[in-house]
Amino acid sequence: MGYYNYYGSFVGLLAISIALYLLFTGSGEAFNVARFLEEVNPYMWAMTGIGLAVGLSVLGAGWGIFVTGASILGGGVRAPRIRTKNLISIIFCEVVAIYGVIIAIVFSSKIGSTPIPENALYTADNYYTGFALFWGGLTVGLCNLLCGITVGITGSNAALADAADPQLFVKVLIVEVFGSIMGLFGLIVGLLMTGATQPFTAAASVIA
Amino acid sequence: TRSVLVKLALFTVCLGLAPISTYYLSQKYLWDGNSTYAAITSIIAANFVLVTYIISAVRDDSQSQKPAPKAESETKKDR
Repeated sequence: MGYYNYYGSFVGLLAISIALYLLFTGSGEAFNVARFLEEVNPYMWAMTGIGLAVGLSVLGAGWGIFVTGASILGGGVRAPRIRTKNLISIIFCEVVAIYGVIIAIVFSSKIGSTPIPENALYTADNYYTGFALFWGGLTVGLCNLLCGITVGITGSNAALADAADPQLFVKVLIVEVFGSIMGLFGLIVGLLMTGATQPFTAAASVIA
Repeated sequence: TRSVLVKLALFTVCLGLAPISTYYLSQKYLWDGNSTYAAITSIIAANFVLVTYIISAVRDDSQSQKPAPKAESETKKDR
């Protein structure tokens, strides 16, 4: 704990000194959140959202598979009959990654094939698309991340419970089904957020 | 156990191919370009593959466990 406090407080001190320097030398308006939101390219928001959607989903699915896989392999040493049935937990985790890929494909159809130059890019529709893709992708990614971890830990304990008593497996599978529905929730909300977005289109009149 | 691995590999490939192909095909032929309905269709396809795998895995497991109790009951009759 002391280790992290040392570096954390150093970074905090650096940030505060930079902020005070800017404030006292007259450029305190550099901290402009609205200008940041307006000046960042909508393509950047959209691409980051797509990357987060698939990246965090695969992170959750991979985490779940490694936890479950380790338990299945360990439990299968003493009780080899659990090996085939517990692959169901692995498939549940994999479905979470598929959700992320589907969302990434849906979102990337909104990007368009020809890049738009910056003097025709900053329209209200393009801002909307950029923000919606970013936050929709983040929503889907975080939901799938935690869903994958949930299904993974539940699946690993299902494997060990199955090794001890075969009748427990179906009951623990119900818990896994509930866990995997959460990934579906994230996907539905992500689709709702980006359902009304238009693909990136150039502005009618070009700003010189 | 080799057939189990083959079945798992086959289902994983299906789980990868079915939703994405369903998305593109249904977007083109069913929903007239609407991407949200196509995504919902592909989710239904992915869950369909998942449920099929669960049913076949449970059925395989109950089949591999049935011959053992049957052999035991025959030996009890022999006595």
